[in-house]
Amino acid sequence: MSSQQSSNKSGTAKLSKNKTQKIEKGILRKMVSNRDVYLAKEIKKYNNIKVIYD
Amino acid sequence: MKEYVRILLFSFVTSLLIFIGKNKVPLQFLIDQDIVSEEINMDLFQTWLFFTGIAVSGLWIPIQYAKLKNKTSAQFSIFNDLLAYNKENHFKHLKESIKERNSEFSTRIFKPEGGIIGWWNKQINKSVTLKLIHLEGISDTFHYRNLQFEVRKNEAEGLIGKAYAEEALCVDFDLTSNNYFMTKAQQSKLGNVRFCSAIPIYNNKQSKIIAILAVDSDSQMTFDEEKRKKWEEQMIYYAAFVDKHINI
Repeated sequence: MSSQQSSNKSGTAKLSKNKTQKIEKGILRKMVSNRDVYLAKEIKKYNNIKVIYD
Repeated sequence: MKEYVRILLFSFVTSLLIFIGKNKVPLQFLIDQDIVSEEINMDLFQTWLFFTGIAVSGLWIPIQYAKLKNKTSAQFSIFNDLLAYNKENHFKHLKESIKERNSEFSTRIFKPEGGIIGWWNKQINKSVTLKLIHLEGISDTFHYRNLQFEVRKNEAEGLIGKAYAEEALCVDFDLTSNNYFMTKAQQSKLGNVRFCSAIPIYNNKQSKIIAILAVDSDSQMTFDEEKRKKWEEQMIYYAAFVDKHINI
């Protein structure tokens, strides 16, 4: 068993905080790559948007 | 279309039953045409038709309507939860990318006033009023019931008004240093908000701004060039996400 995991008597593994964060980051990365396709039509509207910083 | 025809036909049949139940002419016509037997007890038959019509239109249709309404509201609730979940993920990623993990951001949506008043203001007063609206799953709680910004010919109130007037993604890192033609009441309602960013949401033809999406925070922030790029990218994604899922 990995050092980042612990298990209880019923055999279910509890992920460490570090591992959970890694999984979350992975999901987010996947989400970002998918949203470009999913939101393509809407994102197109902002191709030449002006940006103002105050 | 099929569903419309089905419902209209069903409603028409129940109305017809009530009509035949109260009027002898149609039933007499059916007897004359030998469709219905002459030996029938007309009064009893009419009473049955009348009560059947009443039962269907007074009970069955309202029950179906209530069931449909409950189902729709349950589905809306699931959809709003899904929106909120996606929003949470978006902000998690946003905070991660600009290295502001401890800052809290709030979302507000402002909509140009419509109807006769909106039309009158636009045509006669040459102004547009942007009103705060609440969209379930997207908008965060605001402590005041209403907040609005006016956009006139030469001045636009607030960063929201500026984003509308300039049709631009606007970012201000310290709202306290800029007045943006805001009234005392507007400033007081904004309270401790320091950072604000606003972006327009367009209609499908991209000919009209249908809303302004604003993201604000009580924390003061400063972005270097790299963070600015990331913020712009995230705001565009967020605006596109709201645009796709919300019917404003």
